[in-house]
Amino acid sequence: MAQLKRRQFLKNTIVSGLGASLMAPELQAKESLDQQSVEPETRYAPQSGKSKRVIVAGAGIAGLLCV
Amino acid sequence: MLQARVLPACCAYELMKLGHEVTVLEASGRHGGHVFTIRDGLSDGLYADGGAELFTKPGYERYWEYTREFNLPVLPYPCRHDMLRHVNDKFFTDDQLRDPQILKSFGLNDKEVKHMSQPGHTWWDLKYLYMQPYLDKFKDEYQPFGIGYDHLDTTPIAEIYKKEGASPAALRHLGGEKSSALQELWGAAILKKRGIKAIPTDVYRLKGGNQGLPDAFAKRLGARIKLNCPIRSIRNEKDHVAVTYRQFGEDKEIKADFLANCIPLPVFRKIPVTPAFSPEKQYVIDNVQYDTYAHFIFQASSKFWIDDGFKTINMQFGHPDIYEIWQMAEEVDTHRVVLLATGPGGVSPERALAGFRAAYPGKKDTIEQALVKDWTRDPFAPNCERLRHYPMGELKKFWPLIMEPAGRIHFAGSYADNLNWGQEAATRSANRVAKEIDMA
Repeated sequence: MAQLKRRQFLKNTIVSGLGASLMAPELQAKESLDQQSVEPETRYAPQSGKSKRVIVAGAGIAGLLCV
Repeated sequence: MLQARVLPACCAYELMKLGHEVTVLEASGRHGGHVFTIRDGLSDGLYADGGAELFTKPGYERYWEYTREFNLPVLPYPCRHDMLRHVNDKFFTDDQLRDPQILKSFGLNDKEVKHMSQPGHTWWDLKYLYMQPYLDKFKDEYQPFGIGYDHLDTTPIAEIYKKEGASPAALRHLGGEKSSALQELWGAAILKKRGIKAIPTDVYRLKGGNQGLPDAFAKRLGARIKLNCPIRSIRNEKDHVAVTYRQFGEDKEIKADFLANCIPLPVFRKIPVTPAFSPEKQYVIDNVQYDTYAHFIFQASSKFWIDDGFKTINMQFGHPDIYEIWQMAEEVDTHRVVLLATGPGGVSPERALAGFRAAYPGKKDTIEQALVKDWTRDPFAPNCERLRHYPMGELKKFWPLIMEPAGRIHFAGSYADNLNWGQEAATRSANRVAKEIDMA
């Protein structure tokens, strides 16, 4: 196996690091979410564009689902 | 894009993931409401669903999506297979209830005997023989009006059965003298559209208990759920809602953009809301009726019914203290069994057991433990499902107003959908409310 020269190694890691930092935030988020076992709290933007405060009365199955 | 992404995914649960700020106020010390799995008092790892029992397929589409999303194992639930039914003071198997000679002995006419004796038909399918010609006019399962049947809300469904040629024996079995024909036909049309039988026999449950689903939601909601926080009053203002609740002996107030009411209406109607709802909405809140009952849990040391020559313990009784019984948690590795039964509230487990022993057609049982979850005495969730139908002639007073928001208060729960099936209606209406709030 060919030895990877130090200069080439640094170049590769810089480019891939730059690529990672330029990746769209939502893609970064998706990648990290894919590695999580528990569902994320925020994945998409609200349809209306504004996060709303909601009180749910009752923690039966409908109540839990409502959130 | 939202619709494409969310549907058929679960719109309601997506709301939290969409970034809305939510607080769940629960009056009792646990989440799940009527979805309640009992383990205390049972041996060998046995468990019993003391509340919501089962789900169907087809049907419960959103529920099934959640089971996949959370990797909840689903088991077939043979609680309606090989059932013994009590008809005219005798027990019959499902096969016997398809036997033309036995059906004729009940006084059913030739058309009814032919219908009921077909493979796959159950005792409960008889009404479809007479409803079938009416069902295809319902195009939208959420719209029972304007298809030429509005006048049938004041007609008893028994009149339809008579008109279509039902025998006196079938009329006695079907009843319907006080049920609205429009509402009965609408309910049957909804099931037909969803591809579900009147009483589905192939049903399912979650391994480990149906509380697995609310537990999965609660795990993800975390501290957003506040337990032991009964709501004391609600202000439904033009630009916000303010809710006063009790926590650790103190009244607290929180404000929000919207309130999703998921409390059963008989409990919700006791909470003061200002300004008052419209008289029409208040009528709905005050007059929706529910059924309620008790679940009895029997633990036995063996499958005693096998010794008595019965395939299963799935039985319906004509006894006032115990309606029906079946086995659950069959997959638990033990010689012991747990049996679930239903009966009226106010009956002690000992009395229910005595009722079982009086009604059971075998010689002996090995029941060693009797417990009860009496929903009629539950201070937080005393009601089970909304009654299947509203009073005859009053559908327009309730529908669709029952599921429409009032100001900033939206309504979800087993009462707030077109069909009264508990977990199905709860998941469907919760999805609807989440969408309403997200789009508002």
